[in-house]
Amino acid sequence: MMTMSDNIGGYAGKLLRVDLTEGTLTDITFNQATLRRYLGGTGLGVKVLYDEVTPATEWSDPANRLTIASGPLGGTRIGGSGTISIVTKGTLTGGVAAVQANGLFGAYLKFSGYDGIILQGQAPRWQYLHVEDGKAELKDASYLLGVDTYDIADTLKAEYGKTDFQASVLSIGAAGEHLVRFAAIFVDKGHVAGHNGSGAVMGSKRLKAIITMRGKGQIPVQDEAGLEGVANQLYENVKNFTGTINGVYNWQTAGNPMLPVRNYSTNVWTIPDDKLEEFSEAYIRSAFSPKPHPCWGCRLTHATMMTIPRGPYAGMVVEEPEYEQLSAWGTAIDTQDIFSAAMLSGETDRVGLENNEAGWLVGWVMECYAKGYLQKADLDGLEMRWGNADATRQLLHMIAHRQGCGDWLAEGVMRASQKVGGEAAKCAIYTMKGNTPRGHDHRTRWTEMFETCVSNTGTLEVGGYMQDPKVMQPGYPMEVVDNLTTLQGNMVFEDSLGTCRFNTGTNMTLLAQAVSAITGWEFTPEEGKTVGLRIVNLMRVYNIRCGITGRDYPSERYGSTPTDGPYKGIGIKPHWDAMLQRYYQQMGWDVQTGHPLPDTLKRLDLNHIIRDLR
Amino acid sequence: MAEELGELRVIRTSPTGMQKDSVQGELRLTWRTGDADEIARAEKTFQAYLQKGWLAIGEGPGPKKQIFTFNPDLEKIVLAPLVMGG
Repeated sequence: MMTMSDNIGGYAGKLLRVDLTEGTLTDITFNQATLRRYLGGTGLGVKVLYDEVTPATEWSDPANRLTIASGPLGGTRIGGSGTISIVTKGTLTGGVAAVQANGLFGAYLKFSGYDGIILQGQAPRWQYLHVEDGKAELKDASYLLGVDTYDIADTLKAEYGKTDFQASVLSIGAAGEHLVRFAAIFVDKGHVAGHNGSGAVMGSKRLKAIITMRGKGQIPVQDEAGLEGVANQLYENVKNFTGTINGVYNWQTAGNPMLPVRNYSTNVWTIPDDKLEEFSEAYIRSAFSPKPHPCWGCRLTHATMMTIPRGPYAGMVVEEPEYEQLSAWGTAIDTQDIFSAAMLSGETDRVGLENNEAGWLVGWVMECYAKGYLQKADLDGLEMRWGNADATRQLLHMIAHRQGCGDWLAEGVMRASQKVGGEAAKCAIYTMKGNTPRGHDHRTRWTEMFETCVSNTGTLEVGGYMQDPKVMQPGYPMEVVDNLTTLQGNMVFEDSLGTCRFNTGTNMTLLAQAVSAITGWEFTPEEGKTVGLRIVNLMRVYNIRCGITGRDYPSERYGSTPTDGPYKGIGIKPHWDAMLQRYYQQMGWDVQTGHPLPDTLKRLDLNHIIRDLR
Repeated sequence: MAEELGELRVIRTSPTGMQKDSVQGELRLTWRTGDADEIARAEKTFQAYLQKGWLAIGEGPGPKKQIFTFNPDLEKIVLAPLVMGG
């Protein structure tokens, strides 16, 4: 049997399996055929999940796995190739969680001799993992408990005498330690693998952090010139990209009603011009003293650390907020003050919460408070009126530590709203699988609402759509479906490579050329798409085995019809069942149940899982 | 009898990195199925856009699907950029 290092480039050659119950660390390999079928990252993670975690296993069970993996393009000259993908059984959906974080970790892990790490078991006491040049060891982490996700990166690097770019740290914050269902995993401070509770799973294993050194290893490349050509073309395509920080300002000034405002209770954001200007990229970059904080190999300028320049939070250092931080902590809870929004973005990171779920949760609490569904006494005296940033800050800390009302809110939007019940439950934004969407008003972005609901990962699975008028606005349900099925597989393919979408634009042609250049395989974009679809179907069947079926729907509020704004009265729900049937049919799934058909699985070389659906 | 034509439709958009939903018109290239020069011109355009990361959707005969190589036998190919992030 061939192993990972046999005659192919792109791989360090082994994965590290860490059994935290036993305290054992074992090197494992996959054969070349398996690598070509699943590549790395999300692909390998999903395979491990499918093969090793039974449907009856709970997310917090020691038998759950948490796979952290780069891919064949990780640590190469392709910009942003420090990306890792994390796969586990998720806390919110009870099915697959597959999320990514950028930074340095994926590259440094490969330089240290490992393509990925599989965590299993539960440590008897808190530990962290140290990885360096093909060796790894578990160490006591009791003194690190409560340390936030920014400080722990500095603390651990200092202990090993390393400067910022000589090591990479992956960690959880207080939220992960306290098993908050929407705790995330953080890499190199503010790079977040967020949705579906990966941080809570890591916390359940009592692993606080992983530090990997820069490592002296090199990634074998079969065709250096070919890879360099691809890397240069990819950079050429995206070199003007400056991040998503201007998103809120862009949408608002364009008059596009895609911003989520006050928990979807309106589709119109009213903000004075001078306050809106402060949400602009131009203002933030000039006033917040950004300092570069780049990911591996990235020549773009969007990843920075920033300092809040004035106001009550002056001096706080935060990772540059992306669009979704500013929509969650700006429009969704109607904080019209950029300094407060930036503070909440940084605090969410530091305590280890996933930004989107936290934003929807606080927005829901604020609407319930405004309408009298929740009283001050229900919220430990917090005055949760719209835009109250100080109260929100306190609430985030209470949630992260499961203190007071933070304990039941730590269960996430769906479960918290169901606990309160009545009219309050009707205001909550989530999918019927239990996860929450990204930070838009998807009632005007049907593609993303539909995708969020049919996805198997707890977040987006297709992750982009064609810039076509019929897909960009409400009113074209079947075009939305056609767009999604046409592009299915692309993003999951990319998430199996160890690269960053901001750098690659998920350019299937160039990504396939890069895989060919580094591995020596003759790899086509069609094969890449097939790999992606294979993984999508594997996730689908895994979720079905876990009992997740018939839940491809939005909650009442999430799927509601706008009551104001330019798309007032135009709703997606009347079309939903027809959209689902078309989607299932085009995916090769049973049009009633959404279960993959045997012929579809055979076509994707997944014959061995057909029996699992019987 | 009219000659069979293929069509390459390029949806032009705002060039900004953070895309807005503005669509600034379309470029349409057509080719006669037997005309090698017209096919070569369309294929060159097709390849240039794919290198830039645009999506290509082939239409007819048969169902729509994403394509990565130029096929002059298709009735229509739509090229559009991908919207992602933000």
